[in-house]
Amino acid sequence: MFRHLLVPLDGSDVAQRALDHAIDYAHSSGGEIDLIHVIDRRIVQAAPKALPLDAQKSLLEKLEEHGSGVLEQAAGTARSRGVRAHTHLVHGIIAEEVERVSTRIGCDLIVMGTHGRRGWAPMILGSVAESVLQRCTASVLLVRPHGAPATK
Amino acid sequence: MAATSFQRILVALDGSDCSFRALDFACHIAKQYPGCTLVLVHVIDQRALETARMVHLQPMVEEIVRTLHAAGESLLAEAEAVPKRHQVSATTHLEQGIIAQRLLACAKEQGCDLIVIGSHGRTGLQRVLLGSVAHAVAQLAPEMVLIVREGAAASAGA
Repeated sequence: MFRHLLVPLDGSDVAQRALDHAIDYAHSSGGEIDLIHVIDRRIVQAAPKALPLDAQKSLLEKLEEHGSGVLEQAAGTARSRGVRAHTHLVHGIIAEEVERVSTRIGCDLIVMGTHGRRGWAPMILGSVAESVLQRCTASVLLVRPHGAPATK
Repeated sequence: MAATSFQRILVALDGSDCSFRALDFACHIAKQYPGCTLVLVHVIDQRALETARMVHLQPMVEEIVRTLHAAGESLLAEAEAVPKRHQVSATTHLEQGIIAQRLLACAKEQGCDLIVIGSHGRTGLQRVLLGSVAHAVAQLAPEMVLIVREGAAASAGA
């Protein structure tokens, strides 16, 4: 059985479904869950002109606050089911950070959505999920969004 | 109260250790959900047969098909014993075609809600992190997919 699960959370519905699956699984396997939220610096870099430093700082603070909120809520849900949960709020590129944290904690299963926030619906497998599959040595459970195409 | 549920789990079997490990995990998952059954599928690779035809083995193709069918039946019989040990019910399906395509078609025909597959099968490069069949299934399946890696161990205590 998988004992140590990692769930990347970006606040999307499919990440929430992935969390539900991970909690159910950890609950029955007696496992624990690590939750990771990655603040993508490209959000700040996406501005057409470099943002003034204080604007960057305030934006990053808001993103951190949002990220901690997402993580704490998820950890609370896990703990209410008696599942041990740890949180990681990090800066970087999502797939890279998922790989780094998964290696560091030695998780054996990554539970993640096929498309998160940045997904482009016509793509069957989002770029983050694709990249995690190609980088990580842990097993991966891919969770489809609700209303995913039923035929293909 | 569990928020999730699986009713039919497809397990792709090619005889590799990784595919048997995937089967173990599928059994453990199925046990969590009353009434959940396994759909065990082995696909005879159509492309292997095409290759045999191409390299002028035409007279032998029938024998190759017979041999591969017998091997597939015996693999499925061996696999079937695993869910039985876990008291999980299972059906077996011997298919022929392009592997990923047949797996996906079978998942749809059987109304599966989860596909469990090893990251690497018996053929292909071991140094890539994801084999081509697992990759195609991950990319194309509308169902949820569990990719089980080489090193994963399903047995209790592992």
